[in-house]
Amino acid sequence: MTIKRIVKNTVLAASLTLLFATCGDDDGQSTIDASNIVDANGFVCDPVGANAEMGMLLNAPVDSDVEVIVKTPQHPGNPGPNNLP
Amino acid sequence: MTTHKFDAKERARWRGACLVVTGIAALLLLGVWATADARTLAPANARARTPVAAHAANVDCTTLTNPVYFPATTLLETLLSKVAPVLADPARGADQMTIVYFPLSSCLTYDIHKDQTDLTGTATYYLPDGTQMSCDMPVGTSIKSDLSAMDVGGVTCLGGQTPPADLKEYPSHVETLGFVVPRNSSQTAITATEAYYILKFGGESGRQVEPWTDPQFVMVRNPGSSTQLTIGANTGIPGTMWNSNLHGHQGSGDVRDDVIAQNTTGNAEKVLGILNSSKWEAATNDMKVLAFQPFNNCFGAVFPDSTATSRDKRNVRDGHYPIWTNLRYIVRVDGSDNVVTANGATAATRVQRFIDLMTGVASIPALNVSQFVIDTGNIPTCAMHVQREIDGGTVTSFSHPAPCDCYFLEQNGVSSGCTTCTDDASCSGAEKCRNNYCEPR
Repeated sequence: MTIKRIVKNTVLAASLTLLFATCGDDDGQSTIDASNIVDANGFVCDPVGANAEMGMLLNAPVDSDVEVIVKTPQHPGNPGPNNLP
Repeated sequence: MTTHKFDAKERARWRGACLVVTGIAALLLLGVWATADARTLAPANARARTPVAAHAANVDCTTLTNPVYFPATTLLETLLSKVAPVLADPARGADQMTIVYFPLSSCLTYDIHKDQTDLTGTATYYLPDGTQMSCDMPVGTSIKSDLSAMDVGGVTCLGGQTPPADLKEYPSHVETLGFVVPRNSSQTAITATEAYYILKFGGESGRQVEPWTDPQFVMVRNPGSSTQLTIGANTGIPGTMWNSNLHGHQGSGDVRDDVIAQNTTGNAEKVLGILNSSKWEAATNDMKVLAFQPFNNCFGAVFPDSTATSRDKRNVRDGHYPIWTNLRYIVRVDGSDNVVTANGATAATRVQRFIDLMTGVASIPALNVSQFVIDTGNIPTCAMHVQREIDGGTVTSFSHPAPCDCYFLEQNGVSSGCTTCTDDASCSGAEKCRNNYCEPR
């Protein structure tokens, strides 16, 4: 069932750290490889998706007063958008 | 805000890959829509074109002062209830007009205007004091629409085909959409993947999502609805392909009413609906919007606003919450881009004036459209920091040339921290005084 809590300091920080580490810096030497980022539920999560800019906007750090809800998924299988039945 | 900067090579690679993927997805999606729209809109069209006997209690729509015949999305209902009374007031002088509103699904309004279908049946209009009234289109006449409004682009309604050259779209404010549940439900969030399963499989055994397992309690719209099309585009299952066992509705008001009706039946936990913010914000005692976790969001679900109870639309405005769309006004134009209407040159002049007022090109003291947009739970584009060019498509960063963030927040009862002002001299640096607040530029 749902677990309501603010997660900026935990899951978000971990995800974004991994995200930006794999995104590389501005010198263009690195490429984005976020395929191994694992979310709070143990699923592989791709924070970039089909569009890098939208991925960055979706996963940009939220202010401390923003309410974030981490939910245990109730659907079968892995989360989308890839390989959905 | 932390950001990662891409060099030109990276940008080109990502943009190229994205365009290919987006293009293929769009073609597939729109191809499906074309087929499905032709099939699913037929009954609704047929109904709209069937003359309805005039009700004795209603006035003849054609007798109203300066009528503007306006089939439009049901999502516009709340905003029109604010704007139309102001325009109906004789005090407006040359600007006085009666908005004769036909509330319908987005793509149906588009078809009616594109095909110049005779308007029949009962319409809604407002008295200057705000009273909502009904009028009947007289049987046997052939009055056409002056304009229409919808929440998706014409290309979407046409299944990917290029809209006719004589139809012009005027983009306007942003409407927030989302999933709602009755107030008595304990649910607070839904993920994009959960929504995909619910909307595609409709409670099919083995593909259920608790607690929304009974499709009759999943309150959706119809394949011509911009709400359904937009939510479909954000959940991986096009709005034209949703499970037929789900509980369909003609208008957003019907969804609202059905969701609210389940509050005290003992079934509140099973109910899930799709709605626009102007509807749910006007019914917060009876329903609530769910936080949404989009695909590729790796940290959790967020509300359109910063919290479940705030009214700042922060997550819509900054790109964290992607379920939103722009309203579009649709008019017919001649070869010189001048508005034309079958109801004559005077009517065309009224339509152009209405468009100008609604999009901020023109203004009159009595009609603060931005205020009404905000009051009805919507977002003027000047308060947005993201945009999208394709319905349900990629969200990108956006910088409005004349931002109104301070005004937007203050009008929503949120302290902006901005300095109040009467002119630019009251502000510092590059700030500009706009709507009595020092905005960043």
